[in-house]
Amino acid sequence: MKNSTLKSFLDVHSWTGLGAGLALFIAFYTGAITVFMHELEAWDSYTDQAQALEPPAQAQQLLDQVLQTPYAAQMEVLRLDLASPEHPRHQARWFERQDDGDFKRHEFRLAPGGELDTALDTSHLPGFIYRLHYTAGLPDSFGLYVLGFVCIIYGIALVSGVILFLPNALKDLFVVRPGRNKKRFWLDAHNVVGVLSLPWHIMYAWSSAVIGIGLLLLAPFQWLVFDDDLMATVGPQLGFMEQRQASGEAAAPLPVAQLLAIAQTQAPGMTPTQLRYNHPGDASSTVMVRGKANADTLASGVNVTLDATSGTVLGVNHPASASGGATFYKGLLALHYVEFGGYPAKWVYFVLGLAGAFLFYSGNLLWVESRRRRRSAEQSPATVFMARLNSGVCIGCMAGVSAAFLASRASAGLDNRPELTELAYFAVFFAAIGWCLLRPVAAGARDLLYLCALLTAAIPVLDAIDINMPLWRAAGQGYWDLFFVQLLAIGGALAFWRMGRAVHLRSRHGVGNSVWSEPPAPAAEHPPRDNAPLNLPD
Amino acid sequence: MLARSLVAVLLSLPATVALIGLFLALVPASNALALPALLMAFVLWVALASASYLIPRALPAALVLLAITGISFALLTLLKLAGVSAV
Repeated sequence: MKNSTLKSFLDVHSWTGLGAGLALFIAFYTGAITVFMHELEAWDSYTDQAQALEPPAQAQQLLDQVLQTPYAAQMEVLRLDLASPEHPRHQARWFERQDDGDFKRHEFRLAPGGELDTALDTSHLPGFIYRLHYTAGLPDSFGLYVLGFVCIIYGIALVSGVILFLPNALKDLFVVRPGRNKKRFWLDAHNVVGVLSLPWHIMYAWSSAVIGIGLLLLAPFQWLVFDDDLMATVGPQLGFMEQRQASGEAAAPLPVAQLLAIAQTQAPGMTPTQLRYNHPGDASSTVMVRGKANADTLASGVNVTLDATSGTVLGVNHPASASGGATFYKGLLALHYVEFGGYPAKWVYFVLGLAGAFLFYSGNLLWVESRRRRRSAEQSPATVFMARLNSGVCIGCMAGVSAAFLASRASAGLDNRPELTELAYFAVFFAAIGWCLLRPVAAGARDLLYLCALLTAAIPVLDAIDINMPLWRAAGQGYWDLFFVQLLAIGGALAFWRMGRAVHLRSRHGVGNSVWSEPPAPAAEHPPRDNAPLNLPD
Repeated sequence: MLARSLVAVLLSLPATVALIGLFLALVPASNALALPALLMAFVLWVALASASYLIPRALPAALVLLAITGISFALLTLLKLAGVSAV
C-alpha cells in the first residue's frame, strides 16, 4: 500500500478515534460493570432480612390481586416475572403511558401477609449504569441512536487500525517497549490490546450498531427495496406477532400453572422466567411465556405465545427450530450480552471491557503524544484541550460511577434514591471535566485519579458501616455478590492510586516540554531539582 | 478530511442499501436470506466507507459511491419491472 494511502488511513484512524473514543470509553467501562448485572442487583438490593424463594402458586395469587386493582382495565402489557434464586419474589410490572409519551412504572409484589405490595423498588444503580452503557449519559432514545452511529465510526476505526498495523504486524506483534519514549510505549500497548481483542471488538461494533440503529436502518430498505412489508418478512422469524386489540369483554385468563404447562409441552426443557400478558383480563388477551432452554446454539431464549383464555398455541420461538437468519441475529445478541459460558465467559468479558476502555483512552493519549512539541514548553492549544477532555471525561466517568455506588448505598430506604444515584454520577462527572479544564493537565489527571481511588475505596467501607457487611463477613456468610463487588472496589482503588502516583511522578521527573509535565515553579520559592530536565523553561 | 469523511459515511449508506437490495432481488429464497443480508448491511456499510478512503480525493470517491448506488438501484428497478425480482 502506498505511503499516501497509509497516511490517509492514519488520519482516518486518528479522527474516528477522537470522535468516537470518549463515548466508547464510557460505553466500555460501564459495559464491563454491567456484565455482572445480576450480581450488581444483588449488591444494590441487599437486605439483612433473608428472603425465601416464593413458591410458584404465589404467582397466581399475585396475578389475581393485580387484576382486581382499578388499573387492570388500562393495562396493555403486564409482565409477571417469576421468582428465581436471583430474585426470590414474584413481581408484576406495568408501564403506564403518560400524556407526554413517557411511561410511569408500577410494580406489584406480595407482602408477607399476602396482601398486594405496590411499593416501587428503589434500586436504580444497575439500570442506571446499564443506561450509561448504551447512551453514554445522553437522553435515552437519542443516546441510543448516537451510540449506534458511533459504532459505525468505531467499525471504520477498527478497519483503519488493522490496515495501519499490518505492515509491521510480525515485528510489533505483542511487543511493549517501556522506557522514556512514552509515545512508543502507548503505541505498543494500544496495539497489543487492540490486536488481542480484535475479534471481540468486531463483534461489539457490529452487534452494538444492530442494537442501536438496527430499526432505523430498516427504513431505507422498506422504502427502496421491499415492496411488501419488511417486518412481515423478518418479524415472524424473530418471534414478533401482530398484537390483538382488546375486545372490551372481560374473561379470566387460564391459571398460570396451566399456561406454563402448555408452554412446556411446546418447548420441552424450557425454564420459564416471565409471562407477558397483552390486555390481561380481556377475552382477546394473549400471553407470551418467555424462558430459557438449552440448545445447540448461542441463543437460549425461548418464547411460546398462547391465547390467555383458551390456551390455544399461537406461536413458538425456539432456538432449535429457528431460521438461519434468526439464529444469526440472536447469536450476535447472545455474544453481545454474554448469554453463554457462565462465570468464565463473564470474567473474560469484564477484562476485555476494561481493556477496550483502555484502548480508547490510550488512543487519545497517543494523539496527544504524537503532537508533543519537544523543543517548546508551550504545547498547542488543541493538544492541551484534548488531554484535558480525555482526562475529564474518562476519569470523570470512573469517579462518577464510584460516586453513584456510594450514593445508592447511602440513600437506600429513601424514596428519591434513583434521583440521588444519578445526581451523584452527573455531579462528579461534570465537576471532573470542569476541574480538568481549570487545572494544569497533569495535576488535573492526578487529582481525579486520587479522587477515583478515594471514592472506590469508600465502597467497601460504606458497606461495612451502613449495612454492617465488611468484606470478611460477606465472605464468611456466603454473600458472594457483595464480597466480589467489595473486592473489585479494593482492587480498583489500588489501581487508581497507582495510576495517580504514576502521573504525579511523570509530572515531576519525566521529560519536560509535555502536557504531562508540571508547569515550572518560580525559582525563588522552589530551587531547581537535580533531576529536572535541562530543557525546562525558566 | 471532513469532506472525505462525510462522503465515506453518508454516501456509503445508500450504496449499501442498493447493493444489498440488488443481492436480494437476484437470489432465490430471498425471504430466508433477508435477515442475514440486513445484518450484513452493517459490515458492508463499514467496508464501503473504509474502502472509499483508498480514493485519494473526496469528489472521485463521491462519484464512485454515487455510481454504485445509481447502477444498483437501476438494475433493481429493471428486475422489478421485468417481474424477475425476488423481493
